[in-house]
Amino acid sequence: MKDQRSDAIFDDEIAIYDEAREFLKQDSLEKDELILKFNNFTNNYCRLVNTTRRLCSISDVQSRELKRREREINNLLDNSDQGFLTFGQNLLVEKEHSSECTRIFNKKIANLNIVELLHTENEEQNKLFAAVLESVFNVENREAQLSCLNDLPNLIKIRENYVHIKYKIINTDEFDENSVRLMLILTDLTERRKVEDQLLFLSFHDKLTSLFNRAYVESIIPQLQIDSNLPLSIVMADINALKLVNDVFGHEYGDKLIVQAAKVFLKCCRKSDIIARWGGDEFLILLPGANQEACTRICNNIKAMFDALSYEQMGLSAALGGATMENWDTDITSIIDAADRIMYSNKLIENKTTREKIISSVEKALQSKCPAYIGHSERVETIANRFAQLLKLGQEPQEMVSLLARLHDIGKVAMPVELLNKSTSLSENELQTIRKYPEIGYRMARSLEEPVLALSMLALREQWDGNGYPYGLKGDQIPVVARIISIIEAYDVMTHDQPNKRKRSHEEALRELDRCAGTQFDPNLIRLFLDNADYITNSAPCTSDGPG
Amino acid sequence: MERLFLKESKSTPFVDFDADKNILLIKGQSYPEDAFLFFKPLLEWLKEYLAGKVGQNVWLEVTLTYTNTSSSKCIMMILDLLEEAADQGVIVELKWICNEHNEYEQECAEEFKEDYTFPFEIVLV
Repeated sequence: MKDQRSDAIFDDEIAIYDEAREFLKQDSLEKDELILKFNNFTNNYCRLVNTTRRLCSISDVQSRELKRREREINNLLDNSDQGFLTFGQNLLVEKEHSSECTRIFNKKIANLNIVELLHTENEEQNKLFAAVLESVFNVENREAQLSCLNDLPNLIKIRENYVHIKYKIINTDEFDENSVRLMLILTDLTERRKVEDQLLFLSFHDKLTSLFNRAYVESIIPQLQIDSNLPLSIVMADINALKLVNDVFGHEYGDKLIVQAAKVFLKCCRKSDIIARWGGDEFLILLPGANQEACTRICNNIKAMFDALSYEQMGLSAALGGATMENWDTDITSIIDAADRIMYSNKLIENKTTREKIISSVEKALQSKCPAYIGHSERVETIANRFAQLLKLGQEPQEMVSLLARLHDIGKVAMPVELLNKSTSLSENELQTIRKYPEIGYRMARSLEEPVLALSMLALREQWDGNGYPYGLKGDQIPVVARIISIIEAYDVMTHDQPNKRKRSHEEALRELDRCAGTQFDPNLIRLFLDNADYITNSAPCTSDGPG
Repeated sequence: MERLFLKESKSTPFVDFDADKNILLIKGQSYPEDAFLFFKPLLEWLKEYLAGKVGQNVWLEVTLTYTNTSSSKCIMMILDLLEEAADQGVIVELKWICNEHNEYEQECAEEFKEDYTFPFEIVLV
C-alpha cells in the first residue's frame, strides 16, 4: 500500500517541474533546439523525481520491516532467560548479545575478553578456558574444534551464580568461511539448584522441625550397620496429649509444641546422634555407640528438660522407650519395634501422672488468663463433694461429681482473654463465642479418655426447662452430675466478685437459686441444696439425708 | 544468446536468465556494496536480449525478500527496460512473488509496480 505522506517531501521538486511545464506551454515560445532539449530534460527530471519518490517509499517500508524484525528477535533473546553471546578469534564479545548476559556478568560485556569474563577462583579452570578458546579458532577441522570444546566445563560459578554453558560453533555468514564464531549459551541454574537442594532437603527432612524424617532413617539403616556404631541404642518418643492440644488450642499451637519437643531432643542428644520425626507425634533417636546406660542417661535428660518446660508449654511431655543392640545378630527394625513397645508400656504406666500434669497446666493457664478463677474450682469441688455425700450417689458418680467440679471450666482456657475479663455485659457475638466453652471442655475430656465426664461437661449450660445450650436438653435428659455442678457453680459465682458483677451475700444467692428452681435448675436438687445450704457451703451442720 | 546464470551469495540474488526458454528469474536478497556493479551485466544482457524479442513472449519472475536502496534503483532500471520493450512490441509478463504472510513484501511490490503498463502480477504464496 502506498504511503501518501512521502509525496509531500518532493513538493519543491514537483513545483519546479510544474513551472517548467507551464513555461513550455507558452504559445509565443519558439520551438528551437534549446526548447526541445529543455522539454526532454523536463521529462527526465519528472522521471527522476518519481523514481526517487518510489525508492524512498520502498526504503521506508524495508527499514520499518528490518526494525520490526530486530525488535522481535531481541524480544525473543532477551526474554528467553538465557544468555546468548558470540565472539571470534579476537575473543572479544560481540555487540549483539541477550540481556541475560549483562545480568549474569553484572556488567556490559560488549568488546570484553571472554576469558576474563569467565575468570573464577579456580585457576586450573581459568587456564583451561584460555588455552581452549584461543586454540579452537586455529583448528580447521570442525570435529577437532568440537573435540577442543568438549574439554571445557559445562557448569561454572560466575559471581555467586551457578551457570550452565553450552558451546556452539557457528558461521555468521554462510557464504564466508572466515566468519566462524563461538557462541556461548548461558543458563543461570542458581534458582533451580536452590529448588533442587530444597527438594533434596525436604525429601530427607521434616519440614516443621527440620529434623530428619522417616525416609532418611530408613535409607541409612544399611550404612548404620558397621561395628564402630555398636552398641547402638534407639529411643522412641511420643509426645503426650498432642491430640488434646490440637483439638483445644488448634494445630498451630500443636505444631509449636512439636517444634519445642524437637528442640528438647536436639539439646539432650549428642552431635553424632540422629534425631528424626518418625510420624505425627512420634520421634526416633538413633544413638550410635551408646550402651544401655548412656541411653538411659539421655532419656532422663530429655524427661528432666520436658519437666522444666512443662509449666510454660501446656504440660508438654513425652513417653520414651529405649532399646540397645550390642551386636548385629538382631536387625535394626526389630530394635526399633522393641523401643516402640517399651515406649507404649511407659506411656500406660505414666498415664495418670501425665494426665494430672496436663490438667494442672490447663488450670494454671486458665487462672493466669483470668485471676477470678483462682480458687473457684477448689471451692466448687469442696461444695460438690459435700452435696454429693448428701445425695448418696455412690462412689463412682461421686468421683465424677468431684472431677467435673474441678474441671468444669477448663474449656474456657481456649476463650479469648479479653472476654474472660470483660467488666461490662457481653455482646451477642461475644456470648456466641463464650458459649462454645462446654464443647471445648467436652473435646478435652474426650482426649483425656473420660467419655462420661465429657457428656456432663457438654451439658453444663443446659437448663431444667429446656432453654439452655447447646442442645436444649430438659429435665432428666441432663446428666445429674451436670445438674449438680451447675447449681454449685452458680452459687460460687454469685458469692464471689466477677469481672462484670459484684458479689452477693449467701442469703441473696440462695434466694436467686430458689427463684430459678424449675426453670434453670433441677427443683428437687435446689430444694435439697437450700435445705442444707449452711452445711453444704460450710456455714452450718447438715439437716437432711438426701434429696426429697 | 548465452544463458546468464548467477549463484546466490550472501548479498546478491540468484539469477537465471534463460534466453532459449525466454524465462528470466531473480530470487533472493540484494544488498551488495556496489549494486550497479552486480546489476550492470544483467542490464546489458537484457538490453541485448529484449532487442531481438519483438512479437515474442518474455516471462520474468521476481522473488526479492530484501533489497537495499541502490538495488531497488537497479531493479527499477530493469523494469524500465521491460516497459520500453513492451512499448516496442515485446510481449512482457512479470510475476512478482510475495510471501502471503509478509505485508511489507507486498507493499514493496506495489511500489515497484507503480507506473508500469505491462502485465505485472503480484502473486502471494
